[in-house]
Amino acid sequence: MTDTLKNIETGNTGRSGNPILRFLGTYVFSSDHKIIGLQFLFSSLIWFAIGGMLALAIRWQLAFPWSDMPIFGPTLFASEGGQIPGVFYNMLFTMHATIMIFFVIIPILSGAFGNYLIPLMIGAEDMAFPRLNMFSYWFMWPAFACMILSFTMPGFGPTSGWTSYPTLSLITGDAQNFWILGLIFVGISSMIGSINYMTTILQMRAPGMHMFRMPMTVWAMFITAILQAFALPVLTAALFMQLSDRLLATGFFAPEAILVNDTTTISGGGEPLLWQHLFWFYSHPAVYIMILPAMGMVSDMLSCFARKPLFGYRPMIYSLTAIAGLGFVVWGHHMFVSGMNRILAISFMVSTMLIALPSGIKVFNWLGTLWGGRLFLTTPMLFSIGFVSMFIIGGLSGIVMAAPPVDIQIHDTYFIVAHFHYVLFGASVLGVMGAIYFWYPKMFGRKMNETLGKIHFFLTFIFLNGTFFPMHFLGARGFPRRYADPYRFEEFQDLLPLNQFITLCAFLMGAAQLIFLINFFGSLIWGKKAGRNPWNANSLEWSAPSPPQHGNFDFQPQVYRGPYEYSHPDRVDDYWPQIESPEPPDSNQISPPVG
Amino acid sequence: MVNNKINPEPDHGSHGHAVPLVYQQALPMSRGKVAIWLFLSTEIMFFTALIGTYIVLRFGAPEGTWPTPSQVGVMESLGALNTFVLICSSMTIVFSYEAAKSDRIRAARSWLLATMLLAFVFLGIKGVEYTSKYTHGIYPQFPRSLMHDRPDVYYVSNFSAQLKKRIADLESNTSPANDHDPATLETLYLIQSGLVNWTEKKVGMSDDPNMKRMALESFAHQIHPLSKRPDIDKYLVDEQAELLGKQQELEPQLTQLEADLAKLQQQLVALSDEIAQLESDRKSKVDANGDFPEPGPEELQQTALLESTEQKAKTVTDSINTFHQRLNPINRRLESHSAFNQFEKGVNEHFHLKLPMVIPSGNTWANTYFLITGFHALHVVLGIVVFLFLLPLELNRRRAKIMENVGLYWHFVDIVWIFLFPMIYLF
Amino acid sequence: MESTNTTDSPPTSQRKVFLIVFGLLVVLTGISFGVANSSIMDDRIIGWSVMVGISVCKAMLVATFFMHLWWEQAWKYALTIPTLFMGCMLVLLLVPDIGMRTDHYPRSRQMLSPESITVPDAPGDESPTPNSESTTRKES
Repeated sequence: MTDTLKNIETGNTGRSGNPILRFLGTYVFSSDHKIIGLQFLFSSLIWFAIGGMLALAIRWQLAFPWSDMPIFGPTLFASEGGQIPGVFYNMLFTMHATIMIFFVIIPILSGAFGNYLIPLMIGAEDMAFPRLNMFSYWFMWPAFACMILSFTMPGFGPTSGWTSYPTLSLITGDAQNFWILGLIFVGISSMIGSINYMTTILQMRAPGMHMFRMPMTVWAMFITAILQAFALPVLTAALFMQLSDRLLATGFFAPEAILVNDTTTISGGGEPLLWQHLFWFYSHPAVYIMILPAMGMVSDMLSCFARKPLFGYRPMIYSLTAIAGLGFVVWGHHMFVSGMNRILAISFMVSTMLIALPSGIKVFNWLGTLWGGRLFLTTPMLFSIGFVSMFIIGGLSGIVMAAPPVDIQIHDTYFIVAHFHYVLFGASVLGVMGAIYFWYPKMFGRKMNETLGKIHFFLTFIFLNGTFFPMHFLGARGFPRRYADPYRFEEFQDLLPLNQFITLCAFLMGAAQLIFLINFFGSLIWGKKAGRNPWNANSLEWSAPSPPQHGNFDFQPQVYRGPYEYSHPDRVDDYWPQIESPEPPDSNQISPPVG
Repeated sequence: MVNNKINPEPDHGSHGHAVPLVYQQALPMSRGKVAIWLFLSTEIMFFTALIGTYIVLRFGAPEGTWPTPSQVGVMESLGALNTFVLICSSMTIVFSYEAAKSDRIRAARSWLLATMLLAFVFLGIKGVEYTSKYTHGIYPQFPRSLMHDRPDVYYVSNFSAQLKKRIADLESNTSPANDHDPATLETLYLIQSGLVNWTEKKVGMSDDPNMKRMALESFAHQIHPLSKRPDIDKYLVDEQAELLGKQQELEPQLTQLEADLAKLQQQLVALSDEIAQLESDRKSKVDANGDFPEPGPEELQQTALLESTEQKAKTVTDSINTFHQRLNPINRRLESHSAFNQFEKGVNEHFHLKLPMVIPSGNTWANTYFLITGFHALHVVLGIVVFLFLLPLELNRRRAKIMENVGLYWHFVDIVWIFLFPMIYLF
Repeated sequence: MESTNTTDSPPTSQRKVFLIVFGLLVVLTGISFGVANSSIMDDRIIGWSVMVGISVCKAMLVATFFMHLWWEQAWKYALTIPTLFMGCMLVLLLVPDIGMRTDHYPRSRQMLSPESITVPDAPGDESPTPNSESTTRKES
C-alpha cells in the first residue's frame, strides 16, 4: 500500500518532519480531494457492511419468525429467550434504510466518486475549496456518532421508519432525536460538498474542456449537486421542525392533540401531512441523487468497453437534466394513500409518468452504445450491463406504480420493496461496484483480479435477482412491508417458503461480497501494476499518474475533443485521449503509457 | 466567456513538481463569489420551506382564528424599527465594500463596525420582543401550552388545575421575602371562587348550550380578552344585575332567619336556665335512700320544649347555611365582577399571572413566529461572527472580494427580513 | 484571485445610487406600515397583496443594487429564476393539502381545532357598545 500511495505522499512531504503528524496530515486531515474521496469510500463501505447485516437480520425474522437469532440473539435478547422483540424489528428496517441511503449510497456516489473523479476528469488540481471539502467529510463524523449513539438508546434505536412520519416519530423514544441530528449533519456535509462540486465544475475546467466535452460522470455529478443543493435545505428545515416538535413543544407536524397514555403530550395545531410533503420534496430528488451519478459512470464504462462513442451524448445530458427537473415535481407519488388532494395526486401521477421519457432515452442510448460495439466483457463492463438491465426492471415497475389506483393497491407491500431494491441495489450498487473495479487502478495503481471480479459479479447478479424478484410476487399478494410477523394473518402463511428462499438468496448474496473484500484488499498488494491508462480510455483522469500525486497532473492538461472518441476511423488506435494534440506531439507533451 | 488565466492556489503553496494549472471559467468571477451565490440560492430554499410552512399553516388555520398582532402583543413599531435598522446595515456594508475596493482601509473598517453595531441593535430589539413573549406566556411549552385554541371544558379544567397548583405553591411558600404574595394569593382565591368555580358550576348545571358557551367565553374573555366583546360585556352586566337582585332578595330573608335564630337561641338559653333551676331544686331534695326524686311534670314539659326548640334552631341554622351556600358564590361572583371587570387587558395581563388563556391558533402562531424569526436571528448571529473575523483584518483592495461575499450574505439576511416584516407584524 | 476584471462589480462612484435606493427602501417600509393601519386593510386580500407587492419591490431593490445584480451578466437569470420558481412551486403545491386542510377535517379534529371567537352577528341580540360599557362602569 505504501508504494501505491507514494505518489500522493510525495506532494505533502514538505509539510512536517514528524512521521505521525505527516501521516495524519496526509491521510486523515487531508484537504486533497483524492484522500477525501477514499475516506468517503472506506467509511461508506464499512456502513454498507453494517446496513447489510441489518438487512440480513430482517430476512432472518421473515424466514424464521420468532426463532432464536443466531449469534446475536442469546447475548442481546437474553430476557426474551433469544428472540428479537417486535420493536427491534422496527429498528432494523428503520436503520437499514437510513444507513443504506444516507451513509452508503449518497456518500459513496457523490462523496467518494464525486470527490475523486471531478477534479481529475475536468483537469483541475483539486476542488475549488479544499478545506471546505475536508469539512464536508468531517461533518459526516458527528452524523456517524449520532447513529451509533441512537443504537444505544432505550428501544434499540429509532423505530419510526426512515421516512419518520409524524405522529409516530413525535412520540417514539429519544433515539429519534439522534436520528434527526445525524441527518442534519449529513445534510450539512452534502450541502458543503455540492456547492464545492458546482463551483469546481463551473470554474476549474482545463482549457478546451467545454461543458459539452465533459464526461457523463461529471455531468451527472453536476446535476446531482444541483439536486442536492436545492432539495436538501427543505429537508434540513423539516428536520429542524421535527426536532423542535419533539424537544421544544412546538406542533408543526402534530395534529390538534396527541394522546399518549391519556395525557395530551403535544399542543398541536399543525398538520402531519406537512412533514410528508417537505420530506418527499427532498427525498424524491434524493432517489435521483442515488442513481444519476451511477448512470453517468456507467455511461463512461459502457462507451469505453464497447469501444464506441457514447450514443447520443447531448440527449444523454438533456435527459439527465430532464430527470432532475421532473424529479422536483413528482414527490407526491409517495403519498397517494395519505389522504392528499386528488387533483394534486393526478398531477403528480402525470409528472411521474413523464420521467419514463428521459429514463427511456437513457436506456435506449445505452443499448445504442452497446449495439455493434466491440464488447470487452471485463468486470466493470459486466457490472455496467447489469446496471442497465436491473434499471430497466426497476424502472418499469416504477411506471406501473405511478398510477394511483395501482399504487393504492400495492402501497406498503413488498412490491414497493422489490421496486426500489431493483433501482437502488440492482442499479446503483452494481454501478458503484463496476466503478470501483473501473477506477481502482487509478486510485491505487493496481488492477483488481478479473477472475475473482467476474465470479463476484455473477454471484451477486444471480442472488440479487433471487432475492428481489420474488418480492414482486409477495407484493402482488399484498404481503405487507414493515411487519415483524405477517404470518399472523392466515392468508400469508403459505408465503413462508418463498420468504425462506429469498432469505437464502440474501445470505448467499451477502457471502458473495466477501469475494469482493478479498479481491479489494488483496489487489492492494498482489494486484497487477497498472500504468496511467490501463483500460485505454479517453477521459482526462487516465492521463494522470496512477495514483495521481498531490496536484493531480504533472503537465498542463489541454483538451481537444470530447471524451468518447473511440474507434475513430482516421486513427490506428481505437481510442483518442482528450488531451492528445491533433498536431504531432512535441517533446514536452507526455504521451501516457499504455498499461 | 472563455477567458483563460492563471490561478495560483494560495492554499497549496508548493507541491513538488506539479505545475500550476490553467483553467477556463464559465463565469467571470471569483470562486468564492460563485460559491456564495450558490449558497444563497440554497438558503432561499431553506427559508422558502420555513416561510412556506408559515404561509400554509397560517392561511389554512380555521377561518378567522389566526391571532392579530395586537392579540399576541406584537408591536408593529418595533418591527418597523428593526426593518429600518437592517436597511441601514445593508447600506453601511455596501459603503464598507466600496471603501475597501478603493483601499480606504479606515473607512472600510468603520463602516463594517457600524454594520455590526446595527446587527447588535437588531438582535437587542428582537430580544426585547422575545422577552415580552415570555412574560406573557406566549410560547410553546410541555406538557401543554398556556394557549388554548377554544374556550371549552378542557380549558377550564386545565385552568383550574394550574390555579390550584399555583395556590398550593404560594401557600407553602411562607417566606416573608415575597411581601406581595398575600395580595396575589387573595386574587388567586377570588379567581378560583369567583371565576373558575362559578363557571364550572354554571357549565355543569346549564342545559342550554348557548348559556354554556357564553359562560365559557366570558370566563376566557375575563382572563385574556382578544377583542372588544359587547355581547360579553352585556352578558356580564346582565348577570351582575341579576345577581344583585338575587342578593337583595336573599339577604333580607337571611337577616330574617338570623333574627329568628337569635330569638330561638335566647329561648334556648332561657329554657335551659329554667331546667337547670328545676333540676337543682329537685336534686336538693335527697330522700333517705340517697336517690333523687323523679323529675316533676313541669320539668319534663320544659325538657321536651327545649328539645323541640333545639330542633327548630337546628332547622333554622341549616337553612341559614343553605342561604350562605347560595349567597357566598353570588357574593364572590359579585366581588369578582367589581374586582376584575374594569381591566381592559384582562386578569392575566393586569396581575402578570401567566394563567392559561384562550388564543385560537395561538400555538401555531407562536410555533411559526419563533421558527422563522429564530432562524433569521441565527443568520444575523452568524453574520456578526463573520464581521468579528473581518474587523481585525486590513480591509484593502485584495480583501474587497471577501467583503463583497460577506455583503451578499448580509443583504440576503436583509431580504428575508423584508418579507418577514409584513407577514409577522402587519398581516 | 488578482482579477482586474471589473465586469462583476459596479463602477466605483455608486454612492448616489445606493443612497437613492436606501431612501426608496425607507419610504416603501413607511408605505407598508401605513397600509397596515389604513382602510386598505378592510379588504384583507387587497391589503395583503399590496404589502407583498411592496416587499417584492424592496427585495428587488436590495438584490439589484446592493447585491450588484444590475451589473452582472446573464448568469443572474440562470441562478435566480429557477430558484424562485422552485420556491414558489413548493409553497403552491403545499396549498391544497395544508393550506386548505380544514376543508376535509374529520369530526374528531373539528372538535379540537381552533375556533373563531368573534362577536355574533345576530341583530337585536345586543345593545350598542357604549351603552353597555357605561352601565358596566356605573355598577362597578
